[in-house]
Amino acid sequence: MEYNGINISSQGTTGSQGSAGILGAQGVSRFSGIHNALPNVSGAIISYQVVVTGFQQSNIPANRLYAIPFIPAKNTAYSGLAITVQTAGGSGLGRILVYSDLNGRPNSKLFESTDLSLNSTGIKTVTTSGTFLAGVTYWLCWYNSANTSTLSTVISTAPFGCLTVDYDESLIAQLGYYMDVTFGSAPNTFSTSPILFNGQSPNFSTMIYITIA
Amino acid sequence: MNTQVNGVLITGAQGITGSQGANGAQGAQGKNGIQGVSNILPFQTGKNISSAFLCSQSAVIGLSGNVIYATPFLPAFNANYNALSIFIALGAPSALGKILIYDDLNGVPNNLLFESSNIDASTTGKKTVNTSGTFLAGVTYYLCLWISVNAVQTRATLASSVSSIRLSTNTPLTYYRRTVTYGSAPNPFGAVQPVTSNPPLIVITLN
Repeated sequence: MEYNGINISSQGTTGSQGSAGILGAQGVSRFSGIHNALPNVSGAIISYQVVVTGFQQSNIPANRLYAIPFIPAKNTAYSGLAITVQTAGGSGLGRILVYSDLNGRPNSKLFESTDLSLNSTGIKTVTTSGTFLAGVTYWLCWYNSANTSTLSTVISTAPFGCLTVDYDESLIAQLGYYMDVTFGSAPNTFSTSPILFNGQSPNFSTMIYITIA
Repeated sequence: MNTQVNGVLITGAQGITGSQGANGAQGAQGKNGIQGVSNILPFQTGKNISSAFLCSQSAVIGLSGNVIYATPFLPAFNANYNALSIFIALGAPSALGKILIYDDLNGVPNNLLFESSNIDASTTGKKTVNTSGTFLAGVTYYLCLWISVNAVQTRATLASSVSSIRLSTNTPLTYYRRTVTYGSAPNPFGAVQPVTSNPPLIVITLN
């Protein structure tokens, strides 16, 4: 065809496709737990205490499995679990356990240590490894065969530094749950009717330490 | 397509406009996590929670009459509730009380969301108001207690067990109060006075 003497016959070039949109930004991560909020440091020792409140010591009743919640803010690989014997007495034994959570209560047994001897003072460590996952609730548990040794516990002055799990009928804040069980026979599933316990003196919240791997 | 313009035949078609670029891939979802500081453990029917997130010794405080005590409550999970309770440690003759809930505006109590009927605060014991609703995760509410006369004592949360509002010099502020004659709750809350001491305990029963 002609236009002012110029032949125009070909179709214009197809436009190129626009460039792809910019990748959407990742959503903002939220704080996923309450414990171990600072960065992991290998060898550091943490516990279920949220704030620093010191410790005291208590004779823990025998054949009673105590559970206190632990919700790490970040994935926490660990290489050991421990308790501290403050005053040795008799030939008692104890075990550290970890239970999963179901609706705010201890549920399935994830770990049970071998026997720890309580007949000498000092830190009693179970060498075991694993990872506590960020934002997941675990229940750190303890029971012993005799109440003849005193163990480090969370301090019973205010606050205990541990999460409030509930209130009893008198509206007193409660520290965790326990169930009665013969030493050495912790069930795979925690009691579905656990009993609340608070930290009023004497308190039976054995301090369980986690060593970061 | 053939077109004539001023007698000129134009046969070349216009180039096709380039298509729009594809949308960028959606960003990964942010990690879910705790959205508040109270009710950090998952809820369960019958469990009792409060503004406190740390377990504490039991405390008792004396309340002033005609003062609304407003403590912030910021749940980590949605919390369906069916009751609110206080614990009167010492009653006073003819004393009445109310539990109130306000929403938040810029860190202070604002609109009235709930006003209970009168509670008998003349006798000791747990006093429960049956009411239902949902506290939403990550939303700030103010749980309030209002007593009609002086000398009533109630169980309280230790100041060291609640999330502070902010600091007053070196001291954490734990709750707000407003002096207002007992009767119908003000709406909005009105001018606040921040306080540093143990706030009265209001317990929420989950369902």
